Amino acid sequence: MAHVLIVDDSSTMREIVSSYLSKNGFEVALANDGRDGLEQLRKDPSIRLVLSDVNMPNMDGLTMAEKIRGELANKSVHIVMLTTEDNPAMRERGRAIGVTGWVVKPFRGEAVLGPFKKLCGL
Amino acid sequence: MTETTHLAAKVLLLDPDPQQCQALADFCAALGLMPLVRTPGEALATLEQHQDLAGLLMSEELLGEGAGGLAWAQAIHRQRPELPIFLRRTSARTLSQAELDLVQHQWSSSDMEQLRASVDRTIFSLRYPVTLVQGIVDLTCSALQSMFPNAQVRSQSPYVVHDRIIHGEVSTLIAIESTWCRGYMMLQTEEGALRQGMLAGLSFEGVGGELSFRDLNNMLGETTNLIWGAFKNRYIPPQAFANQQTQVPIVINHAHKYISFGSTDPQLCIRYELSDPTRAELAPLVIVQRFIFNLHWSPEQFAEFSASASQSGPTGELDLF
Repeated sequence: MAHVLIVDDSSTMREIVSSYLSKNGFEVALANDGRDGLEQLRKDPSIRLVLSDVNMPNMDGLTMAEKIRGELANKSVHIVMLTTEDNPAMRERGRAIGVTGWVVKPFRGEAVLGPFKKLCGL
Repeated sequence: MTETTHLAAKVLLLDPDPQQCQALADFCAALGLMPLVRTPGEALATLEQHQDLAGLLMSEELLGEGAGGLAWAQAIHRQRPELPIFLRRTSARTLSQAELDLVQHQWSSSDMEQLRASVDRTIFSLRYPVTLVQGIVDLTCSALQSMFPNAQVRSQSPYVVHDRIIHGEVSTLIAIESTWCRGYMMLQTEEGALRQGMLAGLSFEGVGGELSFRDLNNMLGETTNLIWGAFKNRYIPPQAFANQQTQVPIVINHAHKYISFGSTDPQLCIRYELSDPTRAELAPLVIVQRFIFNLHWSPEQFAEFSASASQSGPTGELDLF
């Protein structure tokens, strides 16, 4: 079972995404902002995919991604941004940081399930 | 030039003359105003029921019934000072100062053009591009549909309001900033209706937790976030992104006197007491100040800033360079 970390400040969004992914063969961990996400990733070596919002209090998703690629560079983990942002400059920043992919909300499980499974080697 | 949409607006219509009342109702219909025709006795109750009005059309006859008429009009104005009052003059007398204080515009029925101009200037003072209004409706319906996939989502015709009263108990607020606008978007709803909708299965199965008020707040908060994102992606040009700041919805639940800035961090709170030094027996006036650094907080940077910043001089004095 692939382990996914969902990072979003909205508990509703965390519920929507986690409920869909758990029903579809993923083991899910939750974090409510970038700081929390980073902390969980440090502790849990089994996480294969980080699915993160961009706009969050405390630490935004791109800063978290930057820290993952910097401080936790030895971790083999895919980072996908799941966000309302569709700004080319922001996407470019994500690409430069080493983000794997970008999904513009709303979350449509059926559209991303296949690619997520592929990323996790399922 | 951008084509602007002609929106509707609700007005309270109080005129005891049946002929004038009908003429005004026709006038309103032609102008896009939706008149709520009421008797003076029904006026206050109607204001209670309709909290999305744009103005009030009334006849001078209602003012002219002695001090009682004026007191009644003052009571209406006190209840909703945001609503402009358009007074139909029926006499040539000079209005008293107390009457003038209530009335924003006067017109006589022989000159409806005057009223039309006043309504345009006051009620419809902002013009919204047709494509913007339609776009907002489309992206909002799409966001609502994605948050409430089992609901049928329909929008009513957009209209303008001058009322400032919040609908329901739960509301969200998020800043909207582009090269062409700066402001806020609000979503407002009734907590009970939202809970009912969730219980009826309008949203995702298993989402909404125990449907406590916090769960419901979050639901409206995420809906706000989706609409905001879609608005931003469609209407904020790339050059505006250079100064774009992160925003998260602010959620307010009036029934529980609750406000969330989307962060679990503490808030800096300072209470101030203002008391009368000559009357120690009086309870002080308490003013509470809170700082919420929910989007960015870097005390290290503040330390650098405060070390380099010069101390500000005394206030209220002329500082010559």
